[in-house]
Amino acid sequence: MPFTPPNTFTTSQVLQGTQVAQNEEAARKYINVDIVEADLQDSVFGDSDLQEGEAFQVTLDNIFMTGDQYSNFFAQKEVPRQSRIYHTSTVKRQKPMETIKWVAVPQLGKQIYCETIANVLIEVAFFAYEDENNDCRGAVFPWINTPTAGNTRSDGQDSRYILAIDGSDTYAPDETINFSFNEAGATTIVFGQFSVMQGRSNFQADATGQRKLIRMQYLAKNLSQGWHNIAVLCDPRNEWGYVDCHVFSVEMFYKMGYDTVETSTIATNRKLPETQY
Amino acid sequence: MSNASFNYQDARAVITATNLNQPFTALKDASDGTSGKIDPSNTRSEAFNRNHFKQSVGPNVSDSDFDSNETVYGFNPAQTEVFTTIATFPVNLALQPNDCLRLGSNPLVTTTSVNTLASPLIRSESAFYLCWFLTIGGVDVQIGYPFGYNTIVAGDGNTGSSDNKTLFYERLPMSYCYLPSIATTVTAIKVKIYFDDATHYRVDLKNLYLHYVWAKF
Repeated sequence: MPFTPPNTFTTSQVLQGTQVAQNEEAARKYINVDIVEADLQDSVFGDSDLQEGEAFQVTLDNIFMTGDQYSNFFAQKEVPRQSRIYHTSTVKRQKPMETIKWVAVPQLGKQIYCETIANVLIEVAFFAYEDENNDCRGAVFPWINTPTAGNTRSDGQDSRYILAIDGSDTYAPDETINFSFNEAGATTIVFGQFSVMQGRSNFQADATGQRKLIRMQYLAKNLSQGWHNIAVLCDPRNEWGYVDCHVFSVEMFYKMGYDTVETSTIATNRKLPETQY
Repeated sequence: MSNASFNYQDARAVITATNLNQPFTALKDASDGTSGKIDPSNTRSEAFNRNHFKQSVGPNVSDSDFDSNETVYGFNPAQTEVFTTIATFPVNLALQPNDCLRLGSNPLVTTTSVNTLASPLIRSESAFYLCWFLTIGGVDVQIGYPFGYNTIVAGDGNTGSSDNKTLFYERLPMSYCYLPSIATTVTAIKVKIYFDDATHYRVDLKNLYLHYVWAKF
């Protein structure tokens, strides 16, 4: 609906302050939240109108969200060692019977704030490397004294990644495995060797290190108003591996249209919890 | 472009009904077509599009990720050089020319060689493609170009014997932005697979995680 002033003033009418205030409030509310599509001039929309994705500067991405956008990216042709994000399974020595221990991957996490209930699209892509493992140094998991048929290498040596929202995982971890060797998928773990990965034929340069692109894409529905934690976690099962080039993106989509918006519910007037973050 | 100018009462001037009405009349005239309507470029600046408008209806994102069970494609000569549907996502979207339908999918793929071939393989023996389709008026319309994947170069980086040329539990992300030039009603979003030669490989696909974002500009 186009704007219609609640009061029209006429000559010789006694001026009421409340009527002026009413008109001012109506104009403010209209400009803020009451414009509808029918009030707009006809226009043609094309790709030239798209907003380039300033947040990334990695690829020619574009912005399509209705809310905030968070990003973290790192891309370099040859990533120096100090820029790699390392992980290791050997921290599990403190609790050697623990077979799973998720650790956060630095720079692949974000705390976000939803002004109201929101849908959040999270996209993560990174290169993960896993290097040679060494049974003798106790880096092979799980700790099964007598591995039986059915225990696959992926049970023991392949690092896994998950996307967690407020501490709950989203993807099944077996969908984001980074193989530490030329995985055949069904071979029983062999203990007592330096590494089952050594000496395998047909493996690139007969070395265990390899790179894999891990990519996660998750649409989190109806996150509540307030703070939320998004993090990529790694279950390191290799003696050492690392993540380097990465793109991390969080886009927020609020519900289309407003039912009613009053001054007290506009985001800038909302009081945040008195919590230190 | 509509332009509303506001003239307020000057200090110490006698208040007149005309001056009092002026700002509100100007806003009315600039929004109801009397002197123009609101410039749409003012409503889609930066990150904001028209999805935030009052009375905007419909979902701006899909209700849920479209998941899918593991299904095998390929290893079937009948799928050579044809598009075979791997996912159908029923929707009911009345797109306008100023809308943008952004599609995303992240299928989990494992390919397996089922017919040992001499090395090196040629592309037509080892490549497959994924492509977006929209069902418009009951007809599947291809939008965009196929995304091509080659079993030789992905996965373990192996360049050895052909039985190791596999994609193993790889995600093959794909996305596309569809900008309709006319009003278009979409009843389904589909992903299809295409083989140059569907004889030599089987492609296991699951967990497509298909979703859309509907932006109104």
